[in-house]
Amino acid sequence: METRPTVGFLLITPLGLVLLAVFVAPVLLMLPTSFRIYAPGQGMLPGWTLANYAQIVTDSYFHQVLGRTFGMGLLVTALCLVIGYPLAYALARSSGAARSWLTLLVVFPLTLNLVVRSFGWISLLSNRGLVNNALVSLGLVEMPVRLMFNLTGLIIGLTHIYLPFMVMVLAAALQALPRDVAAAASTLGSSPLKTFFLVTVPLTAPGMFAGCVLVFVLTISALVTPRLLGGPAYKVMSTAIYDEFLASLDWPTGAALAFTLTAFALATIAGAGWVTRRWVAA
Amino acid sequence: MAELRLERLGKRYSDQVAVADVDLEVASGEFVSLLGPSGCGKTTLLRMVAGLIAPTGGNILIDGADITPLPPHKRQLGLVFQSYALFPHLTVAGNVGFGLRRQGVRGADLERRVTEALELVRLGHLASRMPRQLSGGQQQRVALARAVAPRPRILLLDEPLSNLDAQLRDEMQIEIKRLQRELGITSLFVTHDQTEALSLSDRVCVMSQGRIQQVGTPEQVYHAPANGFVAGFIGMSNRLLGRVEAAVGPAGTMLALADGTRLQSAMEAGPAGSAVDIIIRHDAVRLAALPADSPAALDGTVIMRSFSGARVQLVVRLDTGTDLVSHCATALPGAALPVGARVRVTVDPADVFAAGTA
Amino acid sequence: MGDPAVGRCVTTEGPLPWILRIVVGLILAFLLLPVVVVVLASFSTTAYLTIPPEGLTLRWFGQVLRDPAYLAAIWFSVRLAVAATLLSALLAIPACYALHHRWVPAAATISALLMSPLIFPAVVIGVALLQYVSMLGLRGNFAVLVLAHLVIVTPYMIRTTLAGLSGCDPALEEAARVLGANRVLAFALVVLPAIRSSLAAGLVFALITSFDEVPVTIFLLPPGQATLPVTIFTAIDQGVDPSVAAISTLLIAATAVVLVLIERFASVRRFI
Repeated sequence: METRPTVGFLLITPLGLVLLAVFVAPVLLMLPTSFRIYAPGQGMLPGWTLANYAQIVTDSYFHQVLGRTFGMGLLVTALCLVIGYPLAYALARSSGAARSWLTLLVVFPLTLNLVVRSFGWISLLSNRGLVNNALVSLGLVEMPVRLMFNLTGLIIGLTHIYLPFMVMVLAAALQALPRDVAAAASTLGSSPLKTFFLVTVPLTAPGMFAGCVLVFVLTISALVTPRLLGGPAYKVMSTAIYDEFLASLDWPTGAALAFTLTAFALATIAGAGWVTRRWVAA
Repeated sequence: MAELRLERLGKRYSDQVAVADVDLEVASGEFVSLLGPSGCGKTTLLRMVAGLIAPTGGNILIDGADITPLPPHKRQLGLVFQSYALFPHLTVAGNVGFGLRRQGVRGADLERRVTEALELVRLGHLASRMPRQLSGGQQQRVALARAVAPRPRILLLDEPLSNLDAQLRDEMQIEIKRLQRELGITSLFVTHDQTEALSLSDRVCVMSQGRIQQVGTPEQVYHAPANGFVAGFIGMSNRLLGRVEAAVGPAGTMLALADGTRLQSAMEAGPAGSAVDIIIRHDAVRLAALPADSPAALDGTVIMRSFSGARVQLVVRLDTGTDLVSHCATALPGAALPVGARVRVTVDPADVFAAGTA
Repeated sequence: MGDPAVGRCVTTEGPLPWILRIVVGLILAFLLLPVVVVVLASFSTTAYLTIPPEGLTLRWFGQVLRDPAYLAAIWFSVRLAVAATLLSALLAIPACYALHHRWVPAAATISALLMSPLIFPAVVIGVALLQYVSMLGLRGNFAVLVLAHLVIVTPYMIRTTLAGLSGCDPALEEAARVLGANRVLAFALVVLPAIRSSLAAGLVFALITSFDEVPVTIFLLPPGQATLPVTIFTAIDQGVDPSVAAISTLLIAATAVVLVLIERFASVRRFI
């Protein structure tokens, strides 16, 4: 069809303006804040500084928060991949009613509110929760085991939250497998296990990579679950940003943390895009 | 080399019969086609032989040994898929060597046999390419080389030519025939294209609705179809509604068209009065010019004429109102008949077939 | 060839190995475990589910349904989600039409930019908006909250609408034009009906996303008001009481109903 730049711009401008005003401008206006000087009790002082970023690089508290965030991201991603693959495989191979049921069971947690799902894990993992309750009443432990407000709780909760995303991406990759390649491998003398590792896994590798990137970025950006299962003390980057803005009111530090987190998220996605393009070209 | 035998092989799904108790033998080194319209069960049959579909009854024997319970990877068969199913993450050599590696062939031996297989399909120079960098015809050759490289006992081909354009299809037909002859490999070839089946096969097995309708040489199924289905499916035919009027002797029948025109058939067509489809091949309808006012049952007028190179197609409207299509070689006198010409139609009773109406 | 097993072959036919069935069963149990625990806890007399369970009661549901704070939160969430979704559809559909027909230069880049709120950490958008509304003196403004949610849900709207448009045969619109409809009419009478299931998917997805949103919403709420998820979030943060389980169970039931309705009238798969 012919190009209609004028009409095109007319159609796209309203949305563009809203996004500029409510997304781009706020983010850009936070950039100077991250270079301001903050004094407790007095708020922001005149003048500019790099200290807000420097402390992220030098301060051991921030090292801990960053390390925790990425450790959590990598662990959750790995767990989602390992747990998600069998489920995605079953989903991709199923048909008829079984397929509808599996899909519903995977999508249901995905659509369910994050706060509710995190609350479910609190009911299970807290000191008075179901797991500890069972352990104590069965006499397996005397004191409740600490399953929350630490890495264990975060990993369990976040793996649960992001598993459906991984499953959907992997199931799509498995369904996009070219017709009959697995059958071809078996007629050429390959056992089912060999076929899986020689054909299915390599052909779904791009899907696995995409799923991992998605889950990793979502995990390091998550706020609700880390806050509820980690509590106010066990902080990751997003909960630290939350507290700097709402509790300690140190907006410059919060802004610097926010841009650091954004940079990591965007760099992960850009890097993954670059790798994928090289992969396809190779 | 191996011979293949199917004994009462069947596949039933809850609501339909895909293959109904088929018996078939393929001799060592023989090339047999399974020919039939889509949905006739030929691909299901082939996949059962490959082990990709479990039969619900019957046995598959290779050289007398029952392989029915074996999984596909233990059957030592080669299968060329309709979609080729080349492994997109492996090179051409990787694809061709896949089955050899599963047999434990390694190193220089592997390289030599991959090269041999690729030379066989004249693609030795493309060993390091990826499948997506090849044309459709080249992919087809790689699929062939991959299937024959591990020296399978039997080569199965599932509509391998259906994704190629017409010219390439003719080339590949010759290629497949040459390869099969060179290797002397027992082959089972699934197709819905009668030209392919007739020109490639030692024997053709015509299937319909899960059953074998006729097994025979290409000449037999073309010139002596066992029943109306085979007669109607192979070659191009006029198909007319009619009924059996009377049996006229041993294995001969008088048939009547709906308009009352009577035709003699050399075959038995059931009891008098039963409704049948009357099938007459286009090239069995012979025409001769007539004086303008001759009134006889099988006389008519040419109402359409179209020229297509080696032959002319004429549509004749009989005086009783029925239309018949006739194919006439360009060199024959009938080919010159113009539209409007009065003609007399003759059909050899041996060329008139009847099939129960479906 | 009329063989159901051939249509979509991931591998050869046949049932999954039993070991894989067990593994899949365990994974599904893991996915559903917290949901089941919340539902059971909401009927239990104690704040947490215990083993063995103690008494059964419907008291917490009564308490929640009489609690003005929860009722106000539900009403607030619904108004917010509906306003943001409708506004998003109103702005996104025309934009997608222009992008689809490449009426603007660099359409691919522009769509990527429109999708970018999806890859930004939500908490960053939240704090940036918090600072922004403080500067503008608009803290707690409902309209700002609606626009913030519009930013969050628009990528979903754009994704489904663009997918619908590219799956729509361009000849349909051309046929309508040749038959005498102008562009607007052709769009309204032919294109919109053709992509209605994609649009419905986008709308439902946007509604759910907006209704569930916490990490941006929590920074922008008017004093004394909150969405339902934020109300539950705050309640949990202040210590768990049994009414949290009851309101969570109500949300679980609502989600299940929505999913079953979607599955009944369309297919859940197309919503992902």
